[in-house]
Amino acid sequence: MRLTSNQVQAIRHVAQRVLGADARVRVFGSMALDQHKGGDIDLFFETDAALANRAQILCQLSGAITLALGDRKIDIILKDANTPLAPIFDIAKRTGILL
Amino acid sequence: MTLRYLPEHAENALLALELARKEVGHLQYTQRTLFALSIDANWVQQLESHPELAEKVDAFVSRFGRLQDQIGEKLMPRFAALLGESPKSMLDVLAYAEKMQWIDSAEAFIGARRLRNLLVHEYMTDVQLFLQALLTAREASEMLFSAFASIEATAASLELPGMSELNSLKP
Repeated sequence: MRLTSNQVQAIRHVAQRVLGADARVRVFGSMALDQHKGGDIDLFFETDAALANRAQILCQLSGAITLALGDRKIDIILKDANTPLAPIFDIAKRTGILL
Repeated sequence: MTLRYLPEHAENALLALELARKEVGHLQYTQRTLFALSIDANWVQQLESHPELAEKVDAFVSRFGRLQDQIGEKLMPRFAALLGESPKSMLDVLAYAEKMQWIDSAEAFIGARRLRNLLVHEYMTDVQLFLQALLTAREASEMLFSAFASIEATAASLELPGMSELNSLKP
């Protein structure tokens, strides 16, 4: 996993601020792999709650993470209680590292 | 009279303002006609079989993206330069825009970029998310209109010459 401890703190802080204390966030993709270099930051945010507007929360997460980590390529996926199943969530959960 | 801006940046700032004004008009038109329709989950599900509606959504997304880029990448940096600031990065520009009260929230402005992606890819797979993104983009359009209006007010308060006046001053 190639995020610094400051980056991890910042991501956790955003997850808690936007989604609440029980939110989970994982890094997956190339940033989860020690031997890789560069690459996007792929983040998987997960909550057991049913969000009223997932699109609005995705924007809020994306804006907050960009301000916290800088304007680099950041890809965020979000799963709440109502999100339909999709392979990307299984992959992110299986291969991702819980922050 | 002392100028309150750097005149060498006036032309670029005014050009960006004029283009943004046109793009505001285009987005306002599409926003008005799109949201005059009764948009709900059923409507989103029908998009695939109604190419004329899908095309209207595409026009909205494209105009939304163009106006956001014009404001974030041209209008705000050029007005910052006009006022003697030279923010280096996009995030610096947004922090300055927040300080000038051109926008309420840098986080909301930059976060709204995510909508374009949601509005291109999601209607086939996640109807609710697409619907939410469309309604959120309607609100985010108002944020862009408001940013434009604030910068236009800044231009007026600086008593910038109009483009035609500026052209007539050229040798």
